[in-house]
Amino acid sequence: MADPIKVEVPKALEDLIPNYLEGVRKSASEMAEHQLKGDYETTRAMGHKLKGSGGGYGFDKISELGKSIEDSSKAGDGESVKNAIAMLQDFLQRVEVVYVDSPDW
Amino acid sequence: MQIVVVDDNPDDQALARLFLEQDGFPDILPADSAEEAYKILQIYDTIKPLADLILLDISLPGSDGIEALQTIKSSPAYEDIPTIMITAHSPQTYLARAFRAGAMDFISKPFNRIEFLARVNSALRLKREMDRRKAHEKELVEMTVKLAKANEELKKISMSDALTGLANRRHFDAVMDLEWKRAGNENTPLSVLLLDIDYFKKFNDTYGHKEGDSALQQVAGVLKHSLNRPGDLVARYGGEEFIVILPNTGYTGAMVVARRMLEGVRNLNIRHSESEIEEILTISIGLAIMNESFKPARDPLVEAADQALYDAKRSGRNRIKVHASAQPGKD
Repeated sequence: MADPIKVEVPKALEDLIPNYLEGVRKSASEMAEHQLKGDYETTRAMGHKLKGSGGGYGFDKISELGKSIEDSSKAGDGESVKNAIAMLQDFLQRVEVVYVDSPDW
Repeated sequence: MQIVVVDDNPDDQALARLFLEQDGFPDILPADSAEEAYKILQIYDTIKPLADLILLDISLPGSDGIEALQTIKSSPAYEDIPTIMITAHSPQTYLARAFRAGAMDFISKPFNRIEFLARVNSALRLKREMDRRKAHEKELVEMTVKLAKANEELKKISMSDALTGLANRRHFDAVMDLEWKRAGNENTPLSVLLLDIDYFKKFNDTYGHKEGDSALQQVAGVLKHSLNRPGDLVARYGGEEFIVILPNTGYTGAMVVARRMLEGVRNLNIRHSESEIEEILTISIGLAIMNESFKPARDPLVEAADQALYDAKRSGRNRIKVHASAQPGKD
């Protein structure tokens, strides 16, 4: 198994994180199905949502990959969409959340 | 402070709620579409806004967030409610339209807690300031109305006689100035009647001041009701003296009014056992008229009416006497 990716998240978000990541996992597998069908409008919309939410929860990588999915979908670049979804799924498998005290909360 | 968050992404809703609740805003209403937001805000039904702040995502299912903003802002209740747009798009793409539609600020996605709360708090500060100013303006308007009413009341008091409710001497002077000038400018006749209650001192001595006051009030009522035109004025001139201004009225018209007053007071049938002429209260009237052949200054016109009144008294009271300058046919 590949190395875990540690992400520090403010403790205040602890209650929300499991549900959030579960939702992202679900989205990733749905996007993979839509990508296979060539439904890039749906992958674009879902990528856009991930782009908007990830960073807020402390997962900049999710926002970054969401943006890649959105942009590649807009361009109709199926290969890039597929790659970005794969990278997202890899990230989700390896992510290890570390809850930290955040002084500004 | 009630905050409505319109966003179809439950993850963003949850995050926004957490930020707001932890910053002391427990009253959050979530809406996942424009239609639901309209329903929550009751934009078509309410006069009073049901939210203090609206956070509105630019991308909503089945609707453009900016169109939703326009719809919300078209409701008078929400005209002044601050609305912050939320967007994961590049701000340049939408913001010009959003601000034109009435947005006051924007928050970018992904949310940055510090920026998110700074913008929310700044919008709510502005809202509180606007509410305070509106309340202050409303108070000012109410005070102005009250002041105008009080002034009106004061004016009425300062212009009227407390006992009879008729115009007082001051009011008479003001109207007389005006009518005298008008009659001169327009070359129209102006009649002045000066009236006095006959043997009123004896009436007071016999029946007391309370009865005397009551008699003055009854006589005042008759005099007032003897006038039909809005421009005519009767005023209390002194103790038991009254004065009447009849603009644009010559001999014939003035005599009709004078007779009506004389008869009206007699018909009150107020007993006056000490009167030397009748068993009831009566009045004497002197009439002077300013017309083409007699154009006195303002005071001499009143003096002429006074002379005619004196004449009426000397001739036996309970009658009308006309000043020599204003005899029949000189209308």
